[in-house]
Amino acid sequence: MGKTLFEKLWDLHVVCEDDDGTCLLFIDRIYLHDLCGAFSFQMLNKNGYSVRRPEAVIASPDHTLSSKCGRAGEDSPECRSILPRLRRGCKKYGVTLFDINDDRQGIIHIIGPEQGFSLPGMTILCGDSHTCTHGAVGALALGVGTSEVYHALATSCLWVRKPKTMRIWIGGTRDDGVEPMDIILHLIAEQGISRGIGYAVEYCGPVVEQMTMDERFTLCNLTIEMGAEYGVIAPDDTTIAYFRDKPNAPKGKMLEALIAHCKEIRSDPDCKYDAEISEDITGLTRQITWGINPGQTVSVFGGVPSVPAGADENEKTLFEKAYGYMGYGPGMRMQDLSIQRVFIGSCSNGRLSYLVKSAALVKGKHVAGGVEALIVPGSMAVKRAAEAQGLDDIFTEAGFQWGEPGCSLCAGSNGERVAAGQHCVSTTNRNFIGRQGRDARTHLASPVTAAMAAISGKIQ
Amino acid sequence: MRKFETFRGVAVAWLLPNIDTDTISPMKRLILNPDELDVYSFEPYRFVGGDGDSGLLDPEFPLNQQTYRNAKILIAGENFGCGSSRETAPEAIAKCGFRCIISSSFGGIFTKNCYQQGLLPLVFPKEMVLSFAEQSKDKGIFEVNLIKQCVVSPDGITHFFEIEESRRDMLLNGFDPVQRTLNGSAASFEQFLKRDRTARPWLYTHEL
Repeated sequence: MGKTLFEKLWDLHVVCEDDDGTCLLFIDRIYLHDLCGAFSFQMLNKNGYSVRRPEAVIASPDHTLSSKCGRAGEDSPECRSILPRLRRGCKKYGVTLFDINDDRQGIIHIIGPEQGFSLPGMTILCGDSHTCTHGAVGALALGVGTSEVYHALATSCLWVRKPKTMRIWIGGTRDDGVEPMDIILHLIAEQGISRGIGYAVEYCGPVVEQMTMDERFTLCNLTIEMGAEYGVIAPDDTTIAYFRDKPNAPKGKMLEALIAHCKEIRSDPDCKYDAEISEDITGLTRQITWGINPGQTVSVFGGVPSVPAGADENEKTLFEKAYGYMGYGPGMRMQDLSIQRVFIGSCSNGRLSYLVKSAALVKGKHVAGGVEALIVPGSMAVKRAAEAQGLDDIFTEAGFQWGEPGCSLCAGSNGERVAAGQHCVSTTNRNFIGRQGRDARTHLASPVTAAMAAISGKIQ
Repeated sequence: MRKFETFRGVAVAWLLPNIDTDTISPMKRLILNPDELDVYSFEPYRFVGGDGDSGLLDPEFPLNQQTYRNAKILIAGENFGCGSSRETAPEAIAKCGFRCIISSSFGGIFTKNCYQQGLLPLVFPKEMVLSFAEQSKDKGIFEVNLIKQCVVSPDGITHFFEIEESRRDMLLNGFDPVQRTLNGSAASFEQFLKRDRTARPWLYTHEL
């Protein structure tokens, strides 16, 4: 029997296997953002280990940085607490740091692929659940907690249990304005936010094949919101065209060898998955979350659902908690809701092509009265490229704030928050209670939906 | 890490599904109040209006109730610990005095982080979780035995569970796995590197 792409990636990295089947995987790349960096360096300090392969590690602050123009790295109590610890650790352990104002700084899940560090066939580890993003280049990318980051730094390896495999085939006709964010939110709503627990997902099918890399990153990024820790896409010509000119991609013969390797790391025709899902997106409309987790998603033309028939007492309580937190009840039409904040950015949707699309929608128009709109490029490279096209002028003339790269309003870890009671249309990946600030009401949506909301003050 | 020992104790049930780690360990607190992870854990539910700064505990929240003050087992709803990979989530729960969490499913990264924090995550079928929750109401005493791999519920029934040997050993011995990895797999690591440098040379010629 053949192997799936994920199984091939797995087998390529097994250093040894424990008696109970747990495998020690070799970790090709370790990425540190400010939080996981500061905390894992603390563990190295405490236990007296060094970094086994510092040349395989990069760090970039993103979570605690201010997105304000002229930021200094001391803009919030969070940043003052964390950033100096990241800097000290990188210096002590010889880790390459892309600090504030470095041309390579940005959200770690954006700069990894963008700088050519994330390549097909690799294992990539980061102390962040959205590490699954890097799976879009055909890599086994795992998000872990602080202790496992520390383990990987000290040993270049990690003990991992092999997940089951799930194939998600996406086909049909993608209507204009329908973005990967809509597709993945719809999938999560349909399958449920725990459907993927214990699985590594492989996305395939004509809709995925036609996606740009920016779009594939969005798809893989939200895989964890379905409960699956890994999302992968087989490398193809689109992938190769994407990485071949990146600054840290191999050159010459080595590049040719990697391209040849790409053709090997794809699922065999006779492989077997543990689960298969087929999704025809013909007729799919733009999607938006109404509640307090990414599975509570409806069409932008839809309304807040009632408690499903057959829900038990606890499910009912959770729905009521969502209604109470969001400040409305079932039947409320999403289009009737007034919004106060818009955020475009994050590791989900902060890439250049999304900024280009958003700019086209807001050009010559103005943000609606009573709405505060912020757009934050995902990396310094995205920001520079956008500015070279004049996108910053388009946004600021339309009344948007144009920010410095980082997690900004996604993470609630940098002093930037949505005020209590405000509704924010946000291109991020989590609408959990308090995620964007205490009593902040988040509506996850695509950049297209967010840009339209900024101009109209409504969900359209 | 603290060694995991067989224990007997009461359990507290809080069965809302899909409780995420942002809720268990709010971001602002884990950075600015790292020594008070337990105090602010479950902030949106623990405090009146979800506001930890008010200091007003919500009496409706089971973990605030005097009856369960010394509970060592948390019986939770499905998909408990979904979302962010923050390890302060299980750390906060351990700091609250819990040694074991029982649910019908857990977030994948959260499960791995529990072991790192000396906390035992146990998956049982939903009906069994509901039965445990029911039995926890009268301060029934549960026993959790990691050596025999079983939970004895207050009704006297023994329920066995599976756990990988490596994880069990890690909990029982409370050791840091780094030394074990470095010592135990040194030869395999060298062999792997040698093999891999030939198989994937591009990975090594363009190091950072």
